[in-house]
Amino acid sequence: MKNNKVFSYDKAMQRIEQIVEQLEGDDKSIDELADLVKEASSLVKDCKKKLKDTEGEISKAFEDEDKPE
Amino acid sequence: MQNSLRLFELNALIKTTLDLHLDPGYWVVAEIGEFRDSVRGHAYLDLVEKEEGQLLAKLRANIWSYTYQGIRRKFESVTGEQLKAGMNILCLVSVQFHEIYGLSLNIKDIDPSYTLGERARRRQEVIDRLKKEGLLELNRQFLLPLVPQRIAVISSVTAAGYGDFINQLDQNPYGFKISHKLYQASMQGKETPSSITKAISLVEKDMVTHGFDLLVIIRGGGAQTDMDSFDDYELAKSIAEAALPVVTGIGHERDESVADLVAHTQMKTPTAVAAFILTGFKDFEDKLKMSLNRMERACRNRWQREKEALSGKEFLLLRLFSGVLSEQKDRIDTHKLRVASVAKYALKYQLLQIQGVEKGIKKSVGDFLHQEQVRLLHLQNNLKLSDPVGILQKGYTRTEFEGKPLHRHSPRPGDEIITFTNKEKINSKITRVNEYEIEPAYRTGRHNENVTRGDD
Repeated sequence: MKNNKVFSYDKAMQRIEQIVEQLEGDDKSIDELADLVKEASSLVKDCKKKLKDTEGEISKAFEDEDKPE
Repeated sequence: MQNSLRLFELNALIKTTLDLHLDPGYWVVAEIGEFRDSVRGHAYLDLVEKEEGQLLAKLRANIWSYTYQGIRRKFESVTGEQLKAGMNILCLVSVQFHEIYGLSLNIKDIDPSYTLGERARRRQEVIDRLKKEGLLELNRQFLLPLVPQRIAVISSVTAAGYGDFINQLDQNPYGFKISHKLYQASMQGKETPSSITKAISLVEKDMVTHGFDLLVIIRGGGAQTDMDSFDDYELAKSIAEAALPVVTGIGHERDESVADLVAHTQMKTPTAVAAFILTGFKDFEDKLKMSLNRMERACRNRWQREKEALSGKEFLLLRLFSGVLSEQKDRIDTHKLRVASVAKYALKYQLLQIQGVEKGIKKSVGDFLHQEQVRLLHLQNNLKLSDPVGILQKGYTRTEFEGKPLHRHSPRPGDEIITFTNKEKINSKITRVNEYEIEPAYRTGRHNENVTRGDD
């Protein structure tokens, strides 16, 4: 999530889709395309991490509930 | 000049005539008008006869000392009284005439039984009158107070009987407190009836403020000769009409006086009156004690009965109650078991529900995450496919005219174009433009039209 203090999965996804759309639009120069792809790859990594973290948190939360007191 | 007599001669003639013509003695009935003793032991009297208050006859009389002592002793021993004015007597007299002192009677004897009978007659007259006027029984209409605690006493403070009476009341062995107030009256002599009557009026006046409940008239130690005063009509009337019950203790030994007859209760002496009053207290106390004993006994019996009844009821209640109690206990136990069972079941059900929900959540989350992962993967693939680096590495090239993909422009001969390989950037000029169709291999895309392999 780099420098962003508050990471929003939805916003990241919107941005990725926007980039894909732009790539598909194909009216950018090759330099611009390269930058967009880098940004999108980074966002994909962040989203993957977010998903992994969320899965871990949820598992942990249910595990706590199941533990006998 | 007529024949005349000297006064002495006349008196001598009268004396001789009387001596010749009168008997030596006459029994005469008369009232003593005046009576006086002389220092020499003689008695001088006026004998009178009245009719309806009017004087009919009057004559001087004397009893010479020698005779008088004998007459007096006999008279007093029979009648209990002294000779005095107002008495009717039957006396044996001789008529005397003295040249200087004139006519008089010399009393030689007095019959006391006549005076006694006379007094009895007068006393009977008083009694008859009182009876006729309804006064004889009037004072007895009062109920004697059970415990006379405030007593009005009519007596003379100097009378020995009064002292005895007060001592006996105040120092009674039972410790009863009896309040008494003396109303002073003359208890002997002619003034007695009016004095006592006046005292009764005073008592009646004080009755409300002092709360008297009994009037006592006592006399003691006086001469036995003054009893006539207590036969007086006016005194008897005032006793009969007194506003309180009257107890007399006049202290005489002969028959009762009229005052005694009209009083509520008569006692012989002042001490007897005190004893009577104390007896009343004692009786009351005894009755009170007896009542208390009876009450206590009755209470105890009642208490015992009630206690037994209560015990019976208590036992019955306990028996009934223990049945109800046990029944209720069983019911409660049943309810308890049911509640526990239902609760347990409900808990189990809720647990299952929650577990289901949990499972659902887990599954939803898992699905969601998986879906998102797939979506991401897809996006990543798209990105990979769109990445110019990957495409150029595969040997494809990209040609741009003025910074835009060539397919966005209609190339003409002479246009200067830039072609990108994975390693070079080649500037070239179009010499000829040929139209041609390319078949899509995996997918169609406008940009593919602009990509040519370097080795073509």
